[in-house]
Amino acid sequence: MNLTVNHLSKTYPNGVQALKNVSLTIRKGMFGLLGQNGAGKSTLMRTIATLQDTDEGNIHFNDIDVLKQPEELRKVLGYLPQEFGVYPNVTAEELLLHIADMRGITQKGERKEQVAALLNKVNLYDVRKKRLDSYSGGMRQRFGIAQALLANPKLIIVDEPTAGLDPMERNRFYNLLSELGEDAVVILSTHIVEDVSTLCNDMAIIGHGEVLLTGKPDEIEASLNGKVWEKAIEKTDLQSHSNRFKVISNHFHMGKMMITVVSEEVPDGTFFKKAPTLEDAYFNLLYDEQKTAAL
Amino acid sequence: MIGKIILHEVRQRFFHWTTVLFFAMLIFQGIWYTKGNFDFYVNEGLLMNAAAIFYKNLAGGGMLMIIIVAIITGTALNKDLQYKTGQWVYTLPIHEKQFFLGRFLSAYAFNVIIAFGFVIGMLLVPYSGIGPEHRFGPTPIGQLLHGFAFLTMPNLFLLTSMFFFALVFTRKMAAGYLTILLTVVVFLVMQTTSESSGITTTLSLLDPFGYVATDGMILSLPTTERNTAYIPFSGNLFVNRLVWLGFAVFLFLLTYFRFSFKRFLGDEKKKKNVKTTRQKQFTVSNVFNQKVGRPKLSFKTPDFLKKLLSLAILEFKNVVRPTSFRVILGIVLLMAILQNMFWNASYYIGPTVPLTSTMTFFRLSFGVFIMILLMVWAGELFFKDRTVKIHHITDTLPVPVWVTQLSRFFAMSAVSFVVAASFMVLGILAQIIKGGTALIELDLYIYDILGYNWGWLTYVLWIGLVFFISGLTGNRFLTHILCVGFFFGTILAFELGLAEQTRFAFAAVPGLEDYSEISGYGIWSISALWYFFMWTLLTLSFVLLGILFWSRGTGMVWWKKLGVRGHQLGWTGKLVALLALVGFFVLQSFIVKNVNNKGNFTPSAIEELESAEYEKKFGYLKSVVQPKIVHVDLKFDFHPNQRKASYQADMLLVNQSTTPIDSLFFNFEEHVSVEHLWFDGEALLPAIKNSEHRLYGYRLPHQLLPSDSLKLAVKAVKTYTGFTQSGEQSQPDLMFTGSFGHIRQFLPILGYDSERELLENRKREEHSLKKLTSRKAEVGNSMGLKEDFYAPDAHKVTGTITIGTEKGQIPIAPGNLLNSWEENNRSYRSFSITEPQPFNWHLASGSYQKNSSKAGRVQTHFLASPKHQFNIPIYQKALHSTISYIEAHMNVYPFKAVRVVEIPYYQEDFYAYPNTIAISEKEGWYADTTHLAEKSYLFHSLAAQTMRHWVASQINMANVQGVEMLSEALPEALAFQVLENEMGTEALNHILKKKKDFYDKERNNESNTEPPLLYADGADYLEPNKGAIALQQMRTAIGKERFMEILLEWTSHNPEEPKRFIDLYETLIQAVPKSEVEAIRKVFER
Repeated sequence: MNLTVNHLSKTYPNGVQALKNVSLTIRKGMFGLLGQNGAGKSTLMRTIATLQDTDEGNIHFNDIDVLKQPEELRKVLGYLPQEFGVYPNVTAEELLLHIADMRGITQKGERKEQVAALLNKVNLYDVRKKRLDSYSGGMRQRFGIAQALLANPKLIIVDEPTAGLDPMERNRFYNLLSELGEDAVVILSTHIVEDVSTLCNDMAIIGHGEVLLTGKPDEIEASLNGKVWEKAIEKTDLQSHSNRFKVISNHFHMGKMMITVVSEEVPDGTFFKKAPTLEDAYFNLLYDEQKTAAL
Repeated sequence: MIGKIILHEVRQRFFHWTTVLFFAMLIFQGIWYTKGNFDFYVNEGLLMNAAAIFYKNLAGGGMLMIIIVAIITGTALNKDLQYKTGQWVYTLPIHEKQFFLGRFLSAYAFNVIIAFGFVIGMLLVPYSGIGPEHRFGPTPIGQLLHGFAFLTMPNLFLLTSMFFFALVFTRKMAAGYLTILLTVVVFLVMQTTSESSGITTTLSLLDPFGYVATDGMILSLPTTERNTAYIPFSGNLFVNRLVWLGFAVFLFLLTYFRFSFKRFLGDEKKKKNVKTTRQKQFTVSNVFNQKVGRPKLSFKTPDFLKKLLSLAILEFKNVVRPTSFRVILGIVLLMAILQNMFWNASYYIGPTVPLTSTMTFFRLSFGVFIMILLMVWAGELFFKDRTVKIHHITDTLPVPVWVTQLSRFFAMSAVSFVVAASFMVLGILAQIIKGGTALIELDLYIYDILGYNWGWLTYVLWIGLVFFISGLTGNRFLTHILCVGFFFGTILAFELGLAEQTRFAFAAVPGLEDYSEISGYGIWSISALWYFFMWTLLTLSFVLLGILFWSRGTGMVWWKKLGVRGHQLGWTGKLVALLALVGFFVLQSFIVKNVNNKGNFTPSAIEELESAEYEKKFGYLKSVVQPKIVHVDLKFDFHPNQRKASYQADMLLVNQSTTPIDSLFFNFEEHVSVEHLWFDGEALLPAIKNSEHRLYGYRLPHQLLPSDSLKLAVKAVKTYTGFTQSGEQSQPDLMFTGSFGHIRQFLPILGYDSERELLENRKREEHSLKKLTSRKAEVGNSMGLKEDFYAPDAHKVTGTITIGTEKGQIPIAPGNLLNSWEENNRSYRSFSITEPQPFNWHLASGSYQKNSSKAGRVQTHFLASPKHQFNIPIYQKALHSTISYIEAHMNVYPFKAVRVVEIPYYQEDFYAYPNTIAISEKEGWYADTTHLAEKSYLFHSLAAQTMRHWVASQINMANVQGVEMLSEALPEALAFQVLENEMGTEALNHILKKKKDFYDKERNNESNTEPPLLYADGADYLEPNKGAIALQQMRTAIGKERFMEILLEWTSHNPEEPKRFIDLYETLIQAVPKSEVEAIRKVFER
């Protein structure tokens, strides 16, 4: 069971090139797609989810040619878009039953059973009879998750799924995704590095419509072993450090600015060695991208 | 602060490309509307850039301007919601009321600026090339600005206020658009119904744009004032402006006080959100414990069909469930019941009995409103997923588009069925309440309200169009604008005469408004069926293409959808769509063949051209002397089911001139096929044969010397093949039932046929013909003096007629009935005219119920539809009283028997010819005669026709100016006396007022120049109205008895000599008291 994306390109009518020759192979399990805002993640997600055409390239899920047989893919697809609305006068249960029917669950009893189980899973069972327009943002997001999981899809695409979820619900959702990843391809599109590092056994980083890096999170982390250094500085010293070192990120800790530098050797005695994280790898990649772009 | 906001908003909009586009569109509209309104008024003296036309343009506003206003106003405030800028803009240190005022005023100011394009367009009219130079006068700039200030600016304020009101109170753009739409619909309803409603004052006040009142004001102005005058803002117009401006201010104030940043951002609503109560804590383990089962999935076609049905039901419920739907439907139904209970369609005279056809008329009078409502509902439903932004979920579901979208199409079809069926139920209810249970015709209800005659099936066709446009554009607002714009564009194109052929009006079928209580829909029912097939094929194609073009997910530009490779429709569907489209064009061609090519419809421009060419080519025949018809023996067979008549006429022609005649010229009607034309038993070859104008000239073998006679035998067949498309060319002489035609619709006219001439001077000018100073020959014209008014090529004639028709119908011809019999499943009657009578014969065939009685020595018969026996007693009383009056005071009534026949309304309202009076069905047969006004109208109208019998038999009328004062005005005036005698002065006053009102209203639509009564030239509004009133005035001045004495003396003096009205007038004026002579002369001579 795998999804292959080959040489996908897409340019919008306004000239923005959203995807540039993107190729990926995604196997069963959780796959993280990491990228900044506007990197092309949502375009790629929508394209795989049959919602958008491409200029070039092809996508295959098992033996389904996604671009030519979108109706076949939809039979095995579960999709949670980044933004979505709901019908105002309908309850969560009614709409899920309706979507279940549309997803091909023709038996009424099965529909009810599935919907009840999913409502429980996303913690909406108690409010299933409430109209969806009275739901809060987080509740709606959970409703979205539930609908994406109806009919046990083989390909699950979730675009920024944890937006609006509180930490507890976020954990619950991660657990759920992990469970589903056991026998489905799950693509998690996000700009939160932690989501990918926590959940995914495979990942890609996308920027400016191109795949910048693919691999396993731990391997990507390991590629920076012994090269990541950290130092606490005054805020006013940031510029001078940036001029001297490859400062890939900075953040505040206990009122002090902490900078992270990538270097083959220790930059100077004031730096401490740091165990590399996926976030460091990600920022390092972005740093290289920016430098290349500046040239 | 307000100033800064206005400046910023206006500046931001001003330099946008759409502003240039909108401005250009309005310039175009200014020119286009001017042309349309100029064409509406037929008067020859009217300038193209007349002030009145500009006022009317400004009052109407125009669709483009209203759409542009909606777009501009819509974004003014809503953009903060749409682009979520309100989240930060509203936190700036601005006073919220000042902010509101700034946005409101900037929107209004920009509307005014853009609307100025409309004015510019009107200013550019003289340079636009839409008319010849002499059609333009000095530009009435003052009047234009006056109208802009008093009509356009308040209307723009009203629209802006309404939009802001709807937006602030609902926070929904759709509500704003709907409000504008409703306002426009109200305006259109007022505009289209005001003329025939009888409650013009009320409607002029209810019209939000003041158009009806402006139009009324313009109608009361003579042409010279229309060209230059400032219309007075008084009366209805003043009240209208006051009411609507007041309403706009009221809405503005309500909105002003309501608006607050918090409320507009929707904070209050958020408070109502469900607060998730403390929910049970799920642990990872219990999540894993709740396994979601593996359901069985099925994607087979039967499953999809089931889904289609269940979804359609679900969507139907979704549409009808909201309160807004029920409220709107409730309003529509309330309007339906009010119309059917208190005001139903009538023709001139007033209310009618509760016939089914008057109940189904609601679908037409409110048709525009209902159709738009359904189209908007349909558009909203088709885009429901996108509106609520759930389409990124629903579009990935494994359900084909044909299931989801078709279910919505079916749901909307069901909704429209509910709407239509409600009209039907309400109509039946109204009939029962009004005591018309026996008049309920379910088949007519079904045909009109549930069928394709602007009923339910028409709604479905339009919903199909919306479906297609939805798929093509993928944009909700664009779909609304295109569909409603197309709908109004079609209406306007036909109203302005830019389009005439029904085959260009989507979903329209011929005969929509042409139902006759006598003839039903006749040929239009066949015609309509073909048109419906044609539109159904197009709609089928539309629906299938709508599925093909419907794009899931992110919208696709429309031209990319036009390929045939889309996944959403299988190859079978694509093939069916193609075949349906081909079928549509095949049927278009079939209709062209049957309607146009078979001569059943000619565009007015071609008709005008043909008339002009006829006059140019054959005008010389005016001075060519022809013999006169003096006797006719006619054998005539109606074949109503085939819309055919076969006939043979043996005519005796006499050369009554002093010059020999060597050639005869014949004008035949269209659709007449001559089998034989014998001259004294001899067939001749035509010397002139012009089939385009159907004129044939024959050189006689021997000259016809003065007083010599010639026997002319004509054997011919007239058949209508194919079908017709509009009520203007209804072919009433040969119908399935209720045929009624002038003899000259069958037999040829000798010499020059002046009836074919263009009579409107404006049209004559366009075709380089000399302007007419009068539509009649001058009083001293020697040719006119020799012609009989009723038939210029005949003298009074005698004759015999044998007429037959299909069994079940009664054949009717002029003359005394000699015999009637049945033979070979046909009914026959024979008639004779022994005393010479005008040759204005008419022939009829219909299914009638006969009521006979006697008025002294005169046998009277009423032949009316069995359904229309309501007012026969009133008619009988009128006929009997008039005959008695004539016999008592005016010598003798000319016939021993008289028939009064009800005829379809497609031709003139009244006919009086030997032994027969024909009255249009809409002139009283089913009038509600509870009140004196209607009773007196019925009485007087028949009395006047009876008097016409007397006048026609007593006076040989020369065909010169003033002749209609004898043929029309005199009988009307003589009937006043009978009316007064029998029904009293109040009844007479009703009629006099009605005539005066009619004249006042219609005189301003005079196409040429209104002549003095003395030189009247056959204008419908003039002689029977002003003429009759003037004669009544004269009669009162002279005294009734003395008037009658003079009249009788004048008629009996040289009875054979052709008489002129001017001579009667000069005789009568001698008897007028000197004190009143000047006043009377003023009425007749100026």
